[in-house]
Formats: sequence, structure tokens, C-alpha cells
Amino acid sequence: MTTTQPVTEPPRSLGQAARERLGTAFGPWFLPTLAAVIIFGLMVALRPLVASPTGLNLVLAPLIPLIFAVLAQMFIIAAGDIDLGIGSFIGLANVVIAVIIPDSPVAGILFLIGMVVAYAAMGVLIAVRGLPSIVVTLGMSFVWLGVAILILPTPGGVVPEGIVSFVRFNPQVVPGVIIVLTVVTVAVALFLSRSKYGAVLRGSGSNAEGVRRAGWSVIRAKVSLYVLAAVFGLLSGLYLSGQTGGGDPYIAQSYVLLSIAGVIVGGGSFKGGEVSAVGAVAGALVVGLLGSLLQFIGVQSSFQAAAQGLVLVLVLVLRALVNWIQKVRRTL
Amino acid sequence: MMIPLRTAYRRRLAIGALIVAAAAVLTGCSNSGTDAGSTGDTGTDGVKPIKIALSNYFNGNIWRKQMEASFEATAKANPDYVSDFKVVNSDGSAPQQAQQIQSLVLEGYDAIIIDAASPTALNGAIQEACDVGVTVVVFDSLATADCAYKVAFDYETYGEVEAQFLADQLGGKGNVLFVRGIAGITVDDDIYRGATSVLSKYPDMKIVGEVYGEFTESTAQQEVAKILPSLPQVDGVLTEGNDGGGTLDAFLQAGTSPLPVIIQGNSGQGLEGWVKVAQENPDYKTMSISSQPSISSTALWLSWMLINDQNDASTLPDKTVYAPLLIIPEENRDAWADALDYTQIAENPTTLEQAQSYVKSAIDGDPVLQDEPLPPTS
Repeated sequence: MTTTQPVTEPPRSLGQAARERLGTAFGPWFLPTLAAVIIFGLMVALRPLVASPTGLNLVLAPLIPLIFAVLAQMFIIAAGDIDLGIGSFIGLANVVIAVIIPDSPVAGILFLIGMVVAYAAMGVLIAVRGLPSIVVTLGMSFVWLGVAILILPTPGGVVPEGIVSFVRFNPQVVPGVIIVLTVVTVAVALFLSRSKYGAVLRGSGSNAEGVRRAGWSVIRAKVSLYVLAAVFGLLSGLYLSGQTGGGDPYIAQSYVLLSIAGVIVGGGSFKGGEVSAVGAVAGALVVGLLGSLLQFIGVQSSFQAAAQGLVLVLVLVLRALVNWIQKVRRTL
Repeated sequence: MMIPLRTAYRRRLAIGALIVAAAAVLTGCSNSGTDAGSTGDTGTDGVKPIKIALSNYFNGNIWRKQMEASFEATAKANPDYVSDFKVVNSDGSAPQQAQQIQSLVLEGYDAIIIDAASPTALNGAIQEACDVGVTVVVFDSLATADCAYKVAFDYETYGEVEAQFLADQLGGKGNVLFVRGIAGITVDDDIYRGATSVLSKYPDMKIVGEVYGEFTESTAQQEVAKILPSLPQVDGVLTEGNDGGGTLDAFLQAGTSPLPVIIQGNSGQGLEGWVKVAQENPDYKTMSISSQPSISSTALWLSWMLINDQNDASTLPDKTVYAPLLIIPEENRDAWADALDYTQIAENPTTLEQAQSYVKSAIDGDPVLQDEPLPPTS
């Protein structure tokens, strides 16, 4: 290896630093953001109504829970793991909010806190015992789903009015969805790329040895990532609950693969550590808006899924191309 | 650094778009006005054709494909009633279906008919559609939103009818295998409740096994074949639609004799199997029952009635119309078996007149829950 590529593969920590500096200028968030803007622009061109406050709300509101799910998945992927249980976890949160909280808010909130603790425990198990996250999270997904079905065998329940109006909060001046989108993106992005602990968290996935040598606990960092993922999973469940008004254990099953796609389209990598909050949000928008765009264009319903997949692959191909060009430039 | 810039831009965009939107709404209004005028000469005086979309969440089985096809055929054949139509699919995902519904609202459809992924998950999106004046009709797999009209099958009746037939055939005594649909969905729940309420009246009728056939012949065959070796003698089989043919094959392959009374589920495969068994054993009796894919056309006609204020459709009790279950008794068996392909499900294409009669009977408080038609002649 070292003899064939002596220049392009410097020691890992250095490479990481170089990529970071490059990242802030023209980073992995750029391409997905561009793609999201293009898709949104096309939608506005096809239906100008989309850009009105009502239109923005109609188009973006259903994507808020998906954005939270993608951010949850991003924390797990930052740890170098994959979470196949996030969909069922969000479904369980939805069921708790629709069934337990109306009866007894205290019990419901304790239950939700218990779910976060369970996620932390799962993180400990994966980090300490070195178990494959795919298997553990897949196994836990059946636990979340099973508990949700025990609480609510068939969809139903009523989400408390307070949560519904909080989630649908929509002031006259700026659409509520824009506020949520901006606040969440800025907060997570600043935490991950500007704070010291954010760097430690990302390092735990890509460069565990370096983090350990710097005197931080890798296990604690990984568990923190799992806790963050659980909290964002709960937020996703909260928004889904408020938007739908009822509970359904199966509601977020499709989020498992969509959230992984969102992170990867958003510039993340399975290697761990390489994630971008802005990119992940943009990735979620790309994954989520594509369906609406294809619908506006009038792609026949049977081809919609295939067309959606093709566009996602196209984005990844473009990204590989950009990476390749950057690499070539660096070596020249 | 870039975020505030983006919001500022978006805000300006939003204000600009507001003006565009206002203009769009105004022109939209005047357009629909001229539409109504220009179609006055087509024989549907004073009524306007509607722009309607069908939102389906799954099209992976033959029932759903026929359901979409029925909607498209009815829409295409009636340009005086339907000016524009579209079918969208969400691939099994409730949040995606909610998003689709909101996109359809933005596309300006007068009516959206929905085969819902979940009784609760779409209620927010449906409410928002109603709030901006879109007519929403849910059908088959229903959503509970108050503002939506509903076209339903009475699945409890489904269970009652087949269980009563079985009890009569077996003289109120025997072992029953239940081939159910999909766990945790309301259709399965309702049929099961209806059937078990009848069986509870016959203490000598016992359910000795339950499997999930997922309304799919091949799955039903595999599941029944797996459970058969563990069962005592089975005298009758209750099914939930498009699963009786596979069940029959499983019993035939196991060499079971005598064959149990297997309720069929209106598929071409099941009816052909029934014909063959009856040729060898003229004493073999059973029946066939299922829901009709053409319910999508009933939902289309109901939307048209609601938008054009016809037939007092807006006064429907509980906003609910029932579409009849299609029952094939022995005397209609051969006709239907001839009319259907192997992978087709029996249905009666719903005309406006039929839909109007369903609406009338529902308003009169005497809904038509079941029907025994012969196949359409064409």
C-alpha cells in the first residue's frame, strides 16, 4: 500500500485534519445542498404555489420528522455504526405519545426517558463488547416494535392537543417549518464542528486510538452518540405524533433505509466520523423532496420508486466524481 | 455564516411567491369558472367534471393493481365527469403517503381518494387537505379523519357470512382452520371478529389452527402446508380473500381426504380449483366471497357527487357509504370461473347509477353490504 500511494495516503490523523480544513470551505455538505436547492427550484418552477408560506408548510412539514430521523442516524454513523432499529424506535415513541401520555403524562415521560437509557445501554453493549451494531440494532428493532404493538395492537390513540399545536406552530411572519429547520441545523452543525466535544465524538468513530491517546473515553463518546440518536429519534416521534394526531407502531418503518440514504447522500461515510449536519439535513431534503418532484413532473406511479432510486445513485456518482477530482488536484 | 443568508433569501422568496400564489389562485378560480360553462353542453347540465387523484400506499398484489386499473378505466371512460386524473403510490410508507397527499393538494386537485396506509397516520395531512377545500374520500383501508368521506366494506359481515355458511354445511360441528390476512390490520381484525362471533354460538366448532396468508395465494399455500402435519382432521377452512386457491392446493398436495369445506376468496385460481374438485366430487359444497377492487370507482363517483352536490351525498350518515362484498354461490361459480383469468379477482365495474344506489341506500339507513352478481357481459 505505502509503496504504491506514498503521497495520497499520509498518516490518518493528518489526512483527517486536511480534509477538515477543506471541509469548511467546500465540504461534503456542498453537493447535497446544491441538489436540494435544485430539486426545490424545479418544484417551484413547476408549481409556483410551493414557494408560498402555505406551500412551504405543505411540502416541508412532512419532512421534519424525516430530518430528525436522518440526524439520529447521522450520530450512529458518526460512531462508525449503523442503526436498523431507528424506525421502530420512532414508532414506539409515537405510540407512547398517543396512548400513554394522554392517560398519565408522568408515566409517559418516564417511559420516554427509559427509552433513551435503553439506547445508551445498547451503545455500551456495542462499544464495550465490540458487537456488530447491525445485528444488535436489528434485534432491538423487534423489541421496540413488539412493545409498541403490546401497547397499541391496532393503530389508534389520540395525541394531546398541546403537542399537536406545538408541532403545527406556524407564525404569520416566517413559516414554522423554516424556523425548525434553521434552528436544528445550526445547533447540530455548531455542536459537531465547532465544539471540542463534537470533535471528540466524531473522532470516536474514525480515529478511536487518537481520541484515547488525547485522554478522552471512547466508550463514553460512543454512548453519548447513542444518547443523541435516541433524543433525535424521540423528536422525530414527537413531530410525527403532532402531525398525524394518532399512534401507529409501523408508522416510521420506512425511515430506517431513508435515514441511512439521507446521511450518505448528505456526504457521510460508513467509515465513521465523516459526517456533516448541514449535509445530512440537505440529504434528508433530497431524499424527501424527490418523491414530490417526480409526482409534479408526472412520472407514472409504477416508475416512481425506480426513478427515485436512480436519482439517489446519480447523486452518489456525482459525489464520487467530485472526490476523485479533488484527489487528483491534491496530488498534482 | 450561510444560514442567515439563506433564510433572508427564503423570506424574500416567500414574499415574492405569495404574490405569485395569489395570482395563481385567482386565475385558477376563473379557469374553473369557464370549465363549468364550457361543459354545460355535454349533457351534464350545471355540473362540472372533476380533477381527481388516487393515493395508494401499496401496489404489490393483484387486488391493488386491479383497484388502480378500475379507477383509471372509469376515469378514462367518462371525460364528461373526470377532466384530469392521476395515480400515485407511496410504496408502503405512511409518512410518504402523507407527503404525497400534501403535494396533490398543491397540484390543485378537486378531490383526492385514498387507500390509506394507516388509520391514524394520514389524519393530519387529510385535515389540511380538507381545510383548503379539497374533497377527500378514503376507501377500502380507511383513515379516521372526521372530515373525510368513507367508502367501506363491512368486513365483520364478511366473517359472519362465511362462518355461518361453514356452520350450516358442517351441521354446527367440526374443526376449523383459519387462514387470516395480515396481523395487526383492521381488515383482518374485523373479519376475525365477525367469524368468531358466529362460531361462538356453536360450542362444537373449534378453531384448531391459525396461519397468516397475507391475502396472497402462494403465501397461503406455504403457510397451510407448514401447519397441516400438526393439525387433527380439519373439517372447514375460513379465509380472508385471495387465499382459498393456495389453501386448496396445500390440502390436495397433502392428499387429505375427504377435503374440508374451504371458503374461496374470489380469485380465478381459487374458482378453477373449486370447479375441478366439484367435477370429481359433485357433493363438494362451498362458497366464495371477497371485497371488490372496483371500490376505487365507487370512491370516484362519490367524489363527483360531493363536488357537484348531487344525490344529497353530503348528508350521508357518518359520511360513510358501503360497497357490497361480492359473493359467488355455487350456481354462479362456473360463469365466474370462465370469466376470470388465473390471477384475477372477481369484480363488478361500478357505474355512476350503482354508486348512486349505494349512496341512497346508505342515506336510507339500509346499506347494501353484499351482492351476488353474475360476471359482467362484454
